[in-house]
Amino acid sequence: MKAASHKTTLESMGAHALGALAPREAAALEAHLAVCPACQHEARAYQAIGDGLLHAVAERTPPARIRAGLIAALGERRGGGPAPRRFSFARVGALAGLVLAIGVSLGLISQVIALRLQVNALGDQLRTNQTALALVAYPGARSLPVEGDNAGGTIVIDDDQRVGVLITWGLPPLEGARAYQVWLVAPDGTRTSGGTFAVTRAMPYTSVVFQAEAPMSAFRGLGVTIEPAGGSPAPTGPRVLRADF
Amino acid sequence: MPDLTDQQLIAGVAARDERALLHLYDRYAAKVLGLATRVLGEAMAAEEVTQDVFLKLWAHAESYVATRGAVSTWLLTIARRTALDRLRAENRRPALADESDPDDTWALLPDQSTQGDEARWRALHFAVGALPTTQRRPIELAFFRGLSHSEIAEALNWPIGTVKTRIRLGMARLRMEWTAPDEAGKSEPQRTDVSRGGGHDSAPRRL
Repeated sequence: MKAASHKTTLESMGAHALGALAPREAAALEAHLAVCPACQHEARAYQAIGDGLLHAVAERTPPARIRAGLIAALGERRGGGPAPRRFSFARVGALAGLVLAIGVSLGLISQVIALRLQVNALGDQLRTNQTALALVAYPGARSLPVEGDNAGGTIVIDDDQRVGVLITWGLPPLEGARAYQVWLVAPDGTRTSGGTFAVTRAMPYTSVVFQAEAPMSAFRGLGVTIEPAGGSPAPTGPRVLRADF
Repeated sequence: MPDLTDQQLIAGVAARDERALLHLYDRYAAKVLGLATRVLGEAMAAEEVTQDVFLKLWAHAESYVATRGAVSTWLLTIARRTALDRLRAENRRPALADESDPDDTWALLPDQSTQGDEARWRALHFAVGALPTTQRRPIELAFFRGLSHSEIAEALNWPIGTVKTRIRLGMARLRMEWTAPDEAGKSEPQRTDVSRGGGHDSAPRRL
């Protein structure tokens, strides 16, 4: 790497302290610094500004949930970490090789794959539950009932946030290329999609994180309809769940 | 525990002492959250990053090198990088209009003549705020959004040469107004790990 000139180094030091130089420019500057004590002195002064900017931001009082989450995470790690995936893709591949080598029945392979899918579903469920837990900890969080003819559930929302969690049970898995779709209902009746989701037989209930482009305070309710896979721009199918905010 | 210095606490964290980690959390979580919020512009993401930062501290405490700077600076460097990584992963650009820090907590801090680190950070905060907008904006985009010269040029619709010049002038002004006065009468340039009154790395301070 060709070192930068003395003039270029002096002119670029401020940007370097901010991290704004392209990688090649930064490398050339550092090559010059390695051999120029005068520039090293200036570089330290500019780096002090960079360090100072880290501190020169107003503090924000952290909510108790962050500390609680940190303690929980430490506890998980103390206990050996989060529950490991019981079956990895590498293990499935090795097991498939074993089948070919000794002729184990195909029924055993399908059991392994089914268990793998269940672990994936549990992983998604965990992330949704973590979102729900985070929302519940917000001071303004509310949990509201969700009602349907043969299904029910709960939603967790905070008026200032743009995400919410829907926890529902009783919805049957859909046949064919169809999906459940969440709709957020504005005061004027406009429906805005909050995303689609599927129900699997592997779980007794379904948790879904839904999102909006506006805070929840902009809506008066939520509905869930059956739509074609991939969702619809507006509700077309039967409504199966509803909630009023 | 409250009487331990930052370096003693980081050594405790490296020795797997959870109390040491929580004590560092209690000491610096507000700064970390403030910085993460400044970068991400969103409370929930900033809170998640704050937790991530202290988990990284737990995982990598042994990599801290005292000669490279203060524990607080090292921690906030991790916070900035983690927040910027999150920003890039989400491919988000928080609104450029939200560049100024709305928190007026700084106005309630002790007088600038107060000795100690907090007074210096406060002075830098106001020095940045006093820069012409044409210099302050590209500096803030570079530092709090992690943008390069070319990305700043695109964001502000300025020629790249203009971006480079304005960052250079703004940083030179901060160099003159904030760094240079500390150098006057000292034989060595200011370093954030040099013992100063109120610094956790030099003397213990009760919370």
